[in-house]
Amino acid sequence: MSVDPSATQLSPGALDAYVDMMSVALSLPIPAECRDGVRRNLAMILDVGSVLVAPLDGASAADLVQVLPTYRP
Amino acid sequence: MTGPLARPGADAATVAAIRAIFDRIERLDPDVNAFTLLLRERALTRAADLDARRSTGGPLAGVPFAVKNLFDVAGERTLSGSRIAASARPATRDATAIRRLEAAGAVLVGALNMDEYASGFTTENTHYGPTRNPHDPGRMAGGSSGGSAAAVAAGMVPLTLGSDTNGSIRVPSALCGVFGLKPTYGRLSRAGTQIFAESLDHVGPIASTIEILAGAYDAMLGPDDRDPVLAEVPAEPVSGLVHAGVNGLRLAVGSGYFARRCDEAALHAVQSVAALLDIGEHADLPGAAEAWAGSLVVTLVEGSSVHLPRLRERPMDFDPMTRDRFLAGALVPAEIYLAAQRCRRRFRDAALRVFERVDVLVTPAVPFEAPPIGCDALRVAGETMNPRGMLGLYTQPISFIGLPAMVVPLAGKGLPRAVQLVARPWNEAALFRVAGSLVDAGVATAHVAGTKS
Repeated sequence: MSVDPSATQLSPGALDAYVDMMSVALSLPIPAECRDGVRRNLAMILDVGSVLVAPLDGASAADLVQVLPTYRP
Repeated sequence: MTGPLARPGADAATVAAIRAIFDRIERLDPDVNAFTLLLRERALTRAADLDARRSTGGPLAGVPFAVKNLFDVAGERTLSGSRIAASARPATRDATAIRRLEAAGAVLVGALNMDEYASGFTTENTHYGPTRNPHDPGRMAGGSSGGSAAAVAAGMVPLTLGSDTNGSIRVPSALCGVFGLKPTYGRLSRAGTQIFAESLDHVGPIASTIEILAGAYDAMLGPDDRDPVLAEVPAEPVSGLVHAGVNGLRLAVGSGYFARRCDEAALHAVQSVAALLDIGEHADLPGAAEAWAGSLVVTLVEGSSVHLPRLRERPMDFDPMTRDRFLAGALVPAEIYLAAQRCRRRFRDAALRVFERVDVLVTPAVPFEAPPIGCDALRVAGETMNPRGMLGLYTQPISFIGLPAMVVPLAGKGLPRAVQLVARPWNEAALFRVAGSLVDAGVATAHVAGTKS
């Protein structure tokens, strides 16, 4: 399975595949009721993280500002 | 009571004063929901002991206080705002911070509501109900030390303890209009507290006056082998400096990151302090936006690590919002956590360069006033924001690098407004000098319900 979790704007399918893979690897079941919330939180962290991983410049900082204000935990 | 911070006119009997405190809590708390535990028997026994040895009561003699319910209290369960911990074994000893306040004469009266496992800025606790802002019960008290700030703002106790990972002392202190201190990382012992995020957690006092805040801070200073991150630094008490004035201090107003994305009243609060103290300098902390984001990553990863066994065994007993955040945090790639830590280092280095030429930076404490309970969208400065995340906009970068910071409530009508004071590591004294000057000038005062502010 090839999943790049640090890529921005992960497709829902790629995110699902990553969650499934890590859930098994960590023996951490994700209850069905939690799945949407986990995906939403994880997508936010991965988006933020991808900006932190990349070299910082004005454009990437602006990306952060776009991601976080509407973040809904 | 004999201590210099004891309540005026309480010479007769500490027991009587503590009984009156419980009467007040029982009358007021149903509308606020700050307390999750009352320790009547323990407090009255302690008060009787203080009455028996009045002449050696200590600087906080007879001052009633309460703690966020993540502090261990001997014989009680440390709830940490959770349902899961309600079935855990009771603590066998008091947290270090409690022991030190009691050694200074203070009297523990109860434990206080919070966001589950300290994860949140609103104290809208699913298990124990929301803590309400004493100045408007339809509004948030802030969090995660919401019970701690609301209990002081309601006039139930003059002193509480909270913890601050990303702003959890400062945000509720600002929304409720009371004084709140997050000391330098490693300054005060966290031994006997439930850790949320190991590399970010601090404990600190919340109080109705700057003198009580200083007295409590001084009482909690000192080494403690039980906290591995406690720094070996001189104790440096501050009570004697509160009214020393600001001569010689280099002050600056936050610019850039710290002057954007808030409402006009937040900017006005900073400007009013700048005018009073004749502050002409401005300073930004370069990289604050990235630090804000990085703190979120580190918090979720470290927080999920603490709770991984419970996430596996009892996921449905968590608050749904906490659970989903922690589960996501457990899945974060190491590369992103390490990137956040590298961002932390860069930001720390940049901030320390600023604090080579500035002693105290004045910023907004929060971007807006207390939002309505349940609110998940606000329009501020032309943006739609979720207050649950945005309440930490100005506090998170500061705790990310462990700088000492204080929230100072400003006098005025309506819902409380406050500023945040920030200093270089170990310079809490400068924060107290600036706050004391604002109090002495009549600009700063706690908003305690039922009293004129």
